Amino acid sequence: MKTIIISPFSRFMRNGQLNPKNYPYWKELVGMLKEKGYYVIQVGIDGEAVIGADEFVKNPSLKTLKKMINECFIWFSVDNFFQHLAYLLNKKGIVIFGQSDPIIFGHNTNINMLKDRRFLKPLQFDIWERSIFSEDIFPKPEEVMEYFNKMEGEK
Amino acid sequence: MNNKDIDITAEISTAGRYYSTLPMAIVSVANQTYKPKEILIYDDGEQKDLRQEPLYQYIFGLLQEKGIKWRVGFGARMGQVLNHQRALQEAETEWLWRLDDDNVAEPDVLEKLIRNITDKTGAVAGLVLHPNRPILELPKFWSINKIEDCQDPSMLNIQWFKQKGVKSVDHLYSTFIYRKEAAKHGYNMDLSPVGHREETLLTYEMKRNGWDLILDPEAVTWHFRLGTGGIRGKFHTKEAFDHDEQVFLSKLKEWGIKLKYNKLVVLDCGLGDHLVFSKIIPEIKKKYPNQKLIIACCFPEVFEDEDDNVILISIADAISHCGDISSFNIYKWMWDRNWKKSLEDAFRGLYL
Repeated sequence: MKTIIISPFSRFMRNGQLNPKNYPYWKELVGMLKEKGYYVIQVGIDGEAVIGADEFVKNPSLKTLKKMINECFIWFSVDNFFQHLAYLLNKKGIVIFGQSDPIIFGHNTNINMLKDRRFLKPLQFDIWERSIFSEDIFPKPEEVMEYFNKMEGEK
Repeated sequence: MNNKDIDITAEISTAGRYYSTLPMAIVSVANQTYKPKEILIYDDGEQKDLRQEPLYQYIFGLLQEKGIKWRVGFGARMGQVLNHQRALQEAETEWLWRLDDDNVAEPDVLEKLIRNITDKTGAVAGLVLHPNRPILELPKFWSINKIEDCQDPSMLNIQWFKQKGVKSVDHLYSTFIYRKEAAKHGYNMDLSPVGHREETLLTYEMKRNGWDLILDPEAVTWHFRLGTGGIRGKFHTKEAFDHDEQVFLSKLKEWGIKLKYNKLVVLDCGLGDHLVFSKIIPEIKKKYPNQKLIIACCFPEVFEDEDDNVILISIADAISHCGDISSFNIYKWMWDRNWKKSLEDAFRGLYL
């Protein structure tokens, strides 16, 4: 069975609010992937929400993550450290952006999904605590699946 | 040589610190377990008759009680280099102990410094520590005051760090004992009155002439670096420091010193930023092949597979060594430039 890794969240915010980079539709997306027969592994840290994956690997070391990335079929993440680690390993995946600019923070070796540039925060280098979470700015899971299906076909 | 027979003259060049650090400096000389024969004080300040000042009546009385002769000379008010040179000429002993007027020596400094003297010794220094901030341990990779590293901002003077073991060094700073014969070339009179680099020039020339320079870290002098007064006082301008830096660099060139620099990187940022930065390490190594890469970081595991030319330190170390690290903040760097390109390219802009 082919494995998909998902790194679903960015770090906890110091003000206790939801990180505006966090994608709100992981559960739906994970359901669709599982329906297609994939084994889905969530990677993250203690305290993060469960997204319905087959497995949750908590607090993995970089070494473990590298091994998992190299062995997986494809990976998904938000704009967090994971996309950079996969980039260093030349492993292509799908990054779901919301308010951060993929031209600055993404890598053109990945599929960088952005609903619309008008949702980008005006001060890209300001602290995230000054931004507000909104689920409307993210692509719907069906749209993400369209890109996934395309990548799946290419592979 | 019986080191117990070494006669030493202490000398202090001072201005504007009659009632702040100067009394502490003199009393720390008086309280040495190994007494100097004499103390010379060169006054570039108000030039009062200190014998009439009640505090100094106590201090001079203390010196007398301890068997230490004292003399106060009025300087030309042209800075410390002139005064230190004058001490070299007026001292009646073969060894001098130079102190700044904001140095407070532990009572055993002289005792510990003289135990290192051999026939080849030109100068011996101890640590010069600033008690108003954390005192760090000397990192293992640090340059041992090698002259070729003296311009590298990531390699501060080792006299500022706690450490173990006597070391042979290329130059000394601030306060040390030295042999008159080893310093016969004198202080560099091309320097401005601020005398920036005067100790390095004096001591490295001793080294060049074949004398040993020693650092004994068990001898500790506290540096009460005060914002007011001081021998540099009115001369303290950027132009004066720039002038002295040029004199210093010319001298290094004349001596054929090839300066070395390490490349300092400060990653006071997230794990993802560390990972993106790691992508450009091969480019940095290619551009600076003879430099070590010192990385202050929050996630050292990102760099665990790097070779010995990559040295990892903490952010606390970076702040202690550099002071303000905001110039290394990649987000500030991008903000200031209204950056529109990739984070990876921003790191290239900052470090390549």
